[in-house]
Amino acid sequence: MICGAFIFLNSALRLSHFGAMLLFALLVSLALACLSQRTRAGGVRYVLWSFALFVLVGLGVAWLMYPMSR
Amino acid sequence: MNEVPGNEAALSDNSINQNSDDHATGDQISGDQSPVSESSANPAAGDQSIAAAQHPQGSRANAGRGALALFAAVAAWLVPGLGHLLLGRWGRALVFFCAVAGLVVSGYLLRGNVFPSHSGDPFGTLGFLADAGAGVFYYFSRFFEAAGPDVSRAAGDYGTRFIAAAGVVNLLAVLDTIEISTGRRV
Repeated sequence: MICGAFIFLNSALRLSHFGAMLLFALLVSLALACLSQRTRAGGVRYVLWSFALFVLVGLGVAWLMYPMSR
Repeated sequence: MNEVPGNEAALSDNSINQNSDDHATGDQISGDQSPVSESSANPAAGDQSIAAAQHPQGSRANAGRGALALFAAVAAWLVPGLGHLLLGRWGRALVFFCAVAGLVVSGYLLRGNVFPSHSGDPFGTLGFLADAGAGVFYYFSRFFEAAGPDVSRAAGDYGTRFIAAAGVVNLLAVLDTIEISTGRRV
């Protein structure tokens, strides 16, 4: 069953660069919120804020590197 | 994710509160043994005998707290979230397990590089330390990455970062477990 789940996941996980960044931002934001916040409301705010910063900074850096891709 | 303090495990919190009470009592009593109080007219010999009686209990409590911290830390490293689960923080345990497992499994599926322990260069050693932070998931790499890593694509490079980030997140969770079990953090 585990092998079957792995094969399914392996075929299903076709992440684009942006999708990989979103997944990374979400999971790391969740973990950092748990580490730094002790209340549920504070944790939710931290997750949203950290996730938004991850995505915005990632997009900003991507645009800064765009001229180098040519 | 974050529990209301009233819902947290009674066992660990009670032990921590009891230990802090013991500390407070011990500090007050040992304060009576300071030179200022010794120079007073009545040095309160009864208080000194109480302090002598209380001190072994305080050291035993500290030893017990240290053993609990060590046990929880090892458990938290081996299985992400298990340390918090042992301390009764089931919400945080679930979040840490899901975050670390999600990062590691995604990294493996992206065919990221898993650094071996016998790497020759310092960067490889740092990579191994980061990867090994994921505990038991590190040893699943041979199972998940049967075809081996593929860092010739960008996805494989992302996978390498995912695996390393999972290990670092789990190491931070281990430190959090130690702080909770020693009573430095709620």
